[in-house]
Order: sequence, then structure tokens, then C-alpha cells
Amino acid sequence: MTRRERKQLVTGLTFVSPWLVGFLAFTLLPVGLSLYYSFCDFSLIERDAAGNVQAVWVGTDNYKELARDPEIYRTLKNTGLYALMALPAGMLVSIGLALMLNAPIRGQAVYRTIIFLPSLVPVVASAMVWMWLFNARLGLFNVILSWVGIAGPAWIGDKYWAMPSLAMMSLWGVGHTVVIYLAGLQDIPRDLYEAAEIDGAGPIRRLFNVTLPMLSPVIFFNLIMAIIGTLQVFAVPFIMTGGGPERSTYMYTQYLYESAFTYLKMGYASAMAWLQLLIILAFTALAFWTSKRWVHYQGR
Amino acid sequence: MKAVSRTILVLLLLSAAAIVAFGPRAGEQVPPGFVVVDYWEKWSGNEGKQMQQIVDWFNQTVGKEKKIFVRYLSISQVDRKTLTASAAGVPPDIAGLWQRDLVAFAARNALLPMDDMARAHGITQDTYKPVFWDMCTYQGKLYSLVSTPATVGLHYNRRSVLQLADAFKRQGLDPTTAPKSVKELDRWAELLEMRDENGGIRRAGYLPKEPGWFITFTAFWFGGRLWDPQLGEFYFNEPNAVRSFEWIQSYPLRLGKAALTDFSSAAGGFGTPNSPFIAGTCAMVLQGPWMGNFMFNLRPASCEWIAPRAVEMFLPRAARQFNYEWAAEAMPSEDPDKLPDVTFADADILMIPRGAAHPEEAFEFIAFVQRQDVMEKLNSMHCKPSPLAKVSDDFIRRHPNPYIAVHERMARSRNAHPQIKSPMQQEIGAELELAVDQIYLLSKTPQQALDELQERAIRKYSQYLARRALRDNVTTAAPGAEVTR
Repeated sequence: MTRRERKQLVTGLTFVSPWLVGFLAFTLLPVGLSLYYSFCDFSLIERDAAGNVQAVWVGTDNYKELARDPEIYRTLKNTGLYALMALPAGMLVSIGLALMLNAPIRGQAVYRTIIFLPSLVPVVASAMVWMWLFNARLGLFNVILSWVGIAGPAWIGDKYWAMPSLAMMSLWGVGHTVVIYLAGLQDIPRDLYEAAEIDGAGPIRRLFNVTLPMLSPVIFFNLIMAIIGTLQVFAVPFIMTGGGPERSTYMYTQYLYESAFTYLKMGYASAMAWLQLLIILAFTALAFWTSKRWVHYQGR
Repeated sequence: MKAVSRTILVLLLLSAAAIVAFGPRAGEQVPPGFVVVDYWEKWSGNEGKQMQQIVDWFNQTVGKEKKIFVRYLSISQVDRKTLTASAAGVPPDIAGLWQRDLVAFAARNALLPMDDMARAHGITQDTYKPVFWDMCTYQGKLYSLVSTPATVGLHYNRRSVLQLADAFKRQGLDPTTAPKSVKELDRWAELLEMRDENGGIRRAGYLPKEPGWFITFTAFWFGGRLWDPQLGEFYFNEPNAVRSFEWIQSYPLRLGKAALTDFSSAAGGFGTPNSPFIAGTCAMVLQGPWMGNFMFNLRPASCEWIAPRAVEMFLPRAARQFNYEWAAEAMPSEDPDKLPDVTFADADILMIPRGAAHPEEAFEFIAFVQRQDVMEKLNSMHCKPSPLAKVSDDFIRRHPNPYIAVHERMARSRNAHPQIKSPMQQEIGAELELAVDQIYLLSKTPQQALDELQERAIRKYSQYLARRALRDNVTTAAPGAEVTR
């Protein structure tokens, strides 16, 4: 390395140092510490006689407890159920909306803006609005259902309807995904559609044989993001149902949060976080493995 | 391009100058040479301003004399923030938390014991009503002192009852005094109920889950107990507790789960004019003394039935109560002869986290709040009773809540029960809430739900004890060997 190159390296590192320091101090170090604490009994505030914060090594006890804790199974089941409902619904709705918004119609920009707008609303505000929409007596859904003579359910107040209600609400924020799909759709070469048309392919055939295969890398990206997002769901159920009724919407991340900050079991919560990471990694790896069969890249 | 950059730069400089010239200023000027005591508290709004008055009073008197300046900071989620600040080693000097937080902090050695400091200030067990002193201690040590206490009692809509006076009398009930037993409460509730043509509840008599804040403690009114801190045993499924939850379940069974869900969906949240008791759609609730303030602020007419409130304050105490459309009395128990004045007692407390920079100075302020005149002023403003054993006549006479004497009586009762004093109180509380949900939503019988609760509580507690034993072994066998930081 020449002197000039060394100087350039130092200059470069100096410029990235704020990010680098931030990453090391506020991401890498906490991640490393959480791995260590997952093997400890650690409550955040426990102090020894000398007044020092104390974490006691318990080996794999926290991980063994994970296997014995019925709440882990309940929250994993709830989170899985939510992902099973919200993930496919979100993908289908966002692809459908993107296809519609891609059609050359008058007022296209206005429709795109309208679809995107809800995703700009803060989560807490949306949750409050949806709580009213789901209100058993005064909510818009039940009022509309009553017009056609149907007595609507209690939605988030009913243990059987609460989870589907949350999945339904998750569709409110598909705007971001729709925008990504739109970009992907506009990237599909026109000549492929022209060739398909010449071969006699109708709109449905074109959708399945041209659009979706060409969009598959974008679908794959959104699938990965959706897996991560749905398996970490927290804010909306926490605000709207608090995990109820009867813990029917008690999600894994809420249990993790409460273990750490309410029950003061930071070591156990750290173990939970690592288990969650492993689960998400496993599903992501599965998606990557299957992607060889259904994701088509233009350049290959 | 250059012009644009210059314009932006000038605009930025102008904004900065404007902020410097007209921007916010520090709220208080700390006199030089004074020790600053940081006091974090949960209250904002009116309650926050009222506590600030007490802080100002201290700063102008005792603080001035002892060169201590208390800086009051209103903080949302004060428990979480105290927790993280304590973990980081920079806790406030005084944390104004809830009583439920005390054992969780004290059991983990995260609080400074106050025994010596309290003794030096002449503060002893006898200074307090027993229930409030008890809730400030853990394993024989004093870890906090009360700022504002509360007891809960039955609040009922006197006007609605008197409108149905004839119906009450026909049933052999006295509409001029509160119900005396749980059975009588049920009969009151049925008389006060109003249903619409579809079976919907227009006005509820009493609903265990309205607002339901104290529903997990219902066993106290049936002679039950939840936990023995000495023995470390839970009693969730003993007969008294089961009977109390059977009583809770009798409401959804009688009124119908759908009607209850429908009613609660339309009800406004607490602290709004639409909340059922304030709006008059639920005639009786189990609530604390703060209801006096809420009724006055959200439905002033209910506090001025005969005379304007300004005039009423000059009337004798007994006469004052006639001026209110609502009344308060101890929540009736299953057996009023054996169990009079049963109540759940709670408190906002002041504690000194371990690692606080100025514990001695912090305690000066805490001791100041314990003075009878200060305590009575604060609790009068907060519409609460006093935790102190000695209470002035003036406090009772001039208190904004005309039923404060009822709360004072309940606070002195031998049947006043504090929060479960377990290091796992929050976790056990969450399990209790699940059982309540299962019972109220008719998913399980009380016996089933409580048997399961008992099992879960024992399992969690055993796990906690095992961890404590491990910790104790590590700390005593090899200090520092397995201990980090």
C-alpha cells in the first residue's frame, strides 16, 4: 500500500467512522452481549453486595426452560398462525393492487398515491383507527354487515376472530410492497408481452407465463421481508389487543418484551431472541432453497 | 447554484439565531452551591402540577435551608425508564413508581433501604396506617415511603337508586344506604339494570369488569387470600377464591356474553365523559377516591345536585354528601359481619434506587413529603386519603371528595389488603388476568381456570426459587468468580 493509498484509507475510515462506531457500539456489541446473557440469569437491575450489576452464568438453563415453557409454544403457535394468514394475504393483495395500478388508466398517479398513503400513517394511529373499525357495536364493519342483516362478530374482542382481524388489518400497510412490485412490473421488457401475444397468449396466460415469472425476484424479496416482518410482529397486537382475549393474539415478540422489561428476565428474553433468530433464519433458508425452482432472473 | 446554497445557509443561520433568542429556557435556576436531586415521577397534567407545587414548597423552605434543590421531571413509563437508568448505573435520586414495582426492585437489591434515614427523621411504623407501612417494606426492611395512597370502594349512582326507591323498598332493600352484602349488591344490580328490546344492556347495574382494574383481588371480599409471603404459597384455588370467581362468572352467565361484549364496545375509556359510571350507563363500580376528581371534572352537575360546589364546601361534612348524585361506601363482602370494610389498598411510592448520586438529600425530600401538612395538601389535591395514622379534621372537612372519610375508614381496616408482595408479582398478575379472562368469557369454569392458575403460579415460583438458590450459591461460594461487571 502506497503512502497515498494509506492516506486515502485513513480519510475514508474517518468519514465512515461515525457509522462504524455506531454499528459496533449499538448493534454488534448488544448482539454479542445478548448471546452471552442468554446463558445467564440476568435481570438488568440485580446488584451484588458491592452494588454492581450482576449476571450469573447458568449455562444452557434458559434454553432448556424454553423447551419446558408452555407460553413459548402458545406464542409460537399464535405467531405462526398470524404469519400463515397475513403473509399470503399480504402478498396476494399487494401483487393484485400492483397489477391494477400498472394498468394504463386515467388517474393512475392518484390511485397509486391513495394506495400508498396508509403506509405513511404511524402504526399507533392506524391501530387506534382500526380498533374503532372493529368495534362490535359502533364499528364500520359491523354497521355495514348489519345493512345486509348480518350480526357481525366482536372482532378483536372475540378469541376466534381476533387473529383474523389482525391479519386483515395488516393489509392496511401494503403500500410499500405495492410500490416495489410496481417498480418490478415496469422493469419487465415489453417485447416479452408482444412475443406472447403473437403466440396467442391471452391476459391470464400472459400473467402466469410472463408477468409472474419475470416478477419472481421481486416476489422473492418481498417474501423474505414478509417472513421476517410477520414472525417479529409486535406493535399492532400489543396496542390493539394486548395479547388477548385469553392470549389468543399473544405473540412471541410481546412475550419476549414482557419477559425482559416487565418480568425482569433479561437472560431468558435473550435466549428467546436467539431462538427467534434461528426460526427466522430457518424459514429464510427454506425460502432460498425453494427459490431455485421458482425465481427467474432475467440475466441468467 | 451558489445563490441557492447561500440562501439556504442564511436561512439556517437565521433559524439558529431565532432559536437562541426566543427558544425554550431552562425551567428553573439552580442556586449556586446547591445539591440537585433528580426526582422522576409518573404524573403529568394536573397531578404533575400539583406535585410540582410540593417540590416548589420544599425548594423554598427545607431545600433552601439545607442547600438542596429538587428537580421534578414528569416521565412517561417511569418504571421502564427507571429500570434502564438503574441498569446503566445512572438512576434518578428519587423514583416515583407504583407500589407493585417495589418488591421486583427490592428483591433484586436495586433499592436503598431507608430504615436508618427514616429513623433519623423520626419516621416509624406508628406514623402510618398499618397497610401502607406494610406495603413499603420487603423482608423486614423499609424500601420506600408513600406519596399518594388509595383504597377502593363501591361508587354508586345515588340518583338512579333514589329514582327507583319504590322498587327497592318493595324488595325490602334500603335505597338510602349502600348494599351491605354481595347478595344485596346483586339484587341492587338487577334492579338498576335496563335492557333494550333486543336484550342489549342500556344501563348496567354492576359489572365486575367495569372497569375491572381490581377484579383479580375479588377473593378478598370472600375471605380469600392470594399469597402468603412468609410461606411462599399461593391460594388461588382454595374454596373462598373459587367462590369469588364463581360470583364474577355469574354476571356473564346472567347477562349473556354477547350483551356484555356489546356493552363494553360502546363504552368510553376511563377518564372520558363517556366512561360508563360517569355517563350513567353503569350504576355501580369498584373504584378509588380519585373518582371524586373525575366526576367533578367530567360531569360537574353530578357534584352539584342541590347547591353549587363553591357553596357546598362551607356545609358540614354530612350535609355535603347530599349534594352529590353519586356516593361511595366500602364494597360489600360476602359476609359483612365477619368481613367489614374489605378493601384493596394501593399507593404511589417514592424510592431511592441503588446507585443514586444523592441518597441523603433525596431522603430529605421524601421525609418532607411525609410531614402531615405536606401529605394532607398533596393528597387533598390528588383527591386521595392520607397514609398517615394521624389525620387532621380539616383534611376530612375540606377534602374535595366528600366521601374521603369512607376511604380513611377502609384504609384503617384490618381487612385492607395490599398488592401481592411477591418478586414475581407482575408475572403472577398476568396469569391471574388470564384466569379472569377465561372465567369471564365463559371458556372455563372457575375451578378449572383456578386449578390451572395455581399450577402455573407454583411452577413459575419454583423456577424463581431455583434461580435464587443458584445465585446465592454463586455469590457466597465464589464471589466474583461467575459474576460479571
